[in-house]
Amino acid sequence: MIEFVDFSVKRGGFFLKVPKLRLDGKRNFLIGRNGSGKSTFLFSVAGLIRSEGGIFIDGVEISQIAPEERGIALIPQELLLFPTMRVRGNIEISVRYGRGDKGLVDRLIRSMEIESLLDKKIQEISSGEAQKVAVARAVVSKPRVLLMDEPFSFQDEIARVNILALVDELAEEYNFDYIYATHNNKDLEGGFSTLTSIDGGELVESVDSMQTIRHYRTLSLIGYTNLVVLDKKYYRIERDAITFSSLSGIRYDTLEGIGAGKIRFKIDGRYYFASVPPEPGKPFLNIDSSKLVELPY
Amino acid sequence: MRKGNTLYYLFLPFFVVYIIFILTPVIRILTFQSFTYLVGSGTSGIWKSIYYTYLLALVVGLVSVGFSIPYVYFTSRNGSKTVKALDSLVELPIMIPHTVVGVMMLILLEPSMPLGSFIARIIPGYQFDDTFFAVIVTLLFLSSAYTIRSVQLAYARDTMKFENMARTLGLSASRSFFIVAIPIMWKSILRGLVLTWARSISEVGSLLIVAYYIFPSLVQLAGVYIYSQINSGGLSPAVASSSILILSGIVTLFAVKLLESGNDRIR
Repeated sequence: MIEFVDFSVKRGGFFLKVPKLRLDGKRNFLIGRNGSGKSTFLFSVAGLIRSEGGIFIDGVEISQIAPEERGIALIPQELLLFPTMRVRGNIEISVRYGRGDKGLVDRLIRSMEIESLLDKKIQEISSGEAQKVAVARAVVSKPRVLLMDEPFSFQDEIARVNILALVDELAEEYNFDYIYATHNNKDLEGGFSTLTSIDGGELVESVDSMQTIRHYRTLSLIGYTNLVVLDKKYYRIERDAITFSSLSGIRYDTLEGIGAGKIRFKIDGRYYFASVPPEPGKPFLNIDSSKLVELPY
Repeated sequence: MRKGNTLYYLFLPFFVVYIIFILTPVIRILTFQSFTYLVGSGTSGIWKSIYYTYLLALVVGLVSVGFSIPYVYFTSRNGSKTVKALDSLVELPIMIPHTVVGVMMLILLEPSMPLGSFIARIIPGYQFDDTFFAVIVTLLFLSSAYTIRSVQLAYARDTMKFENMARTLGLSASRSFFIVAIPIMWKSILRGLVLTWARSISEVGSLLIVAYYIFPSLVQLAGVYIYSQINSGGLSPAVASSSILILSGIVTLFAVKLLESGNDRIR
């Protein structure tokens, strides 16, 4: 369990504030737009960026502890495998010089099927292999918490889902929690213990299921449909809030291909999408605002 | 992509002109005299001078590496405006005329000067001018900026990230630095050392003031030696000595480049 109390980071002109946050469970996802503060959050939890306030892991305050003693491993987006070491050197570095567990190395290498990579230089392995090595290197260091800053974002869907499943398995087997930063809603399809949304350095909300998401900003990160802004208020579009007309209203387009079954319309210069089947011969739509669900921003 | 890139072909002559600009004087001096004359000139004492010049420049390079690594570590991890302002002083010695640097060193470290006399009280028999110490201190003042900036650039831009990464794997700050960071930036360290070494070899102005001869062996460093040859023996012996210095410099730089372009030592 990871808990934050009055946690804040000041970095140049950027402020990140997390007044109170509790992450129960192993699979914690952090979602936010580019520049929202996800990386700043993770790097400060790892102790690499100075922060204020409390961070508790299983009740133990760690914010004043040096990064190497926090029991928190980090996999950044660029992975940062050490280029002057071979794959084996990378995986074993925490065993030789840190808190790593030698007994874990062979078991992990076998279960991750990376034996053939061990003597290779980092420059000789593919990006998918490099991601596995980065995961192995982090897990060998016996972290209590593993932080991942979109390390798999450049992978195709299948590869990404696979490595996420592998991280899930390892988290169970080697007993660590993880926080995974992403801006791809598909990463959430495997389920999560908590989903925390941040925007502009501000904690928007933290939920334990998709159904409990309340904020427009979180929903807009997860999907682009059925959301609309009217008079600076934020709404979710329910199915019966849209009616079609052959005479007047807002003109709309019907999407085709992968977006089939959705419509697109424009209000105040901004496009919106709704999963509402259009009615043939009725090129206009009207929105009944009384049937919209207002969302907190 | 060169095809259809007009700018590429427009800028190509600039490259060619620059290379010609650099090479022409070098070729001119190397072909000014016959090879036999050059070989014969080797007995004039230039080799001894080159030996001491290279050796002292190497000492300056190594001392400057020794300073630059902790210096860069500190400045890269301290974001305060004061440290940033002080760090900008690193290039100051480069812009001061070198004869002025010689004068500065004399009035600072001569035993008759306040700091010099303080050192003389601690070290009996302390002398400054015309000593190896004077050469090393003066060249360090003039040339260490090259090592510092080379290492600093590599460290702040890339290496620090790897080092921080190592700390999250449980390596202490010092282990992360020595085991991860230093091997990653060894090429930049080497590049800085070579730049400082090369800059030290080319120095004349300040050495004319602090160490025209170096006691007790009365050796003159290469630049000073060639300058004194012009004053006493005319152009020919000076050109011969210069050619030998340039040729040996080219060979050394080439060897360093080979070393630099070699494979990384991967553990």
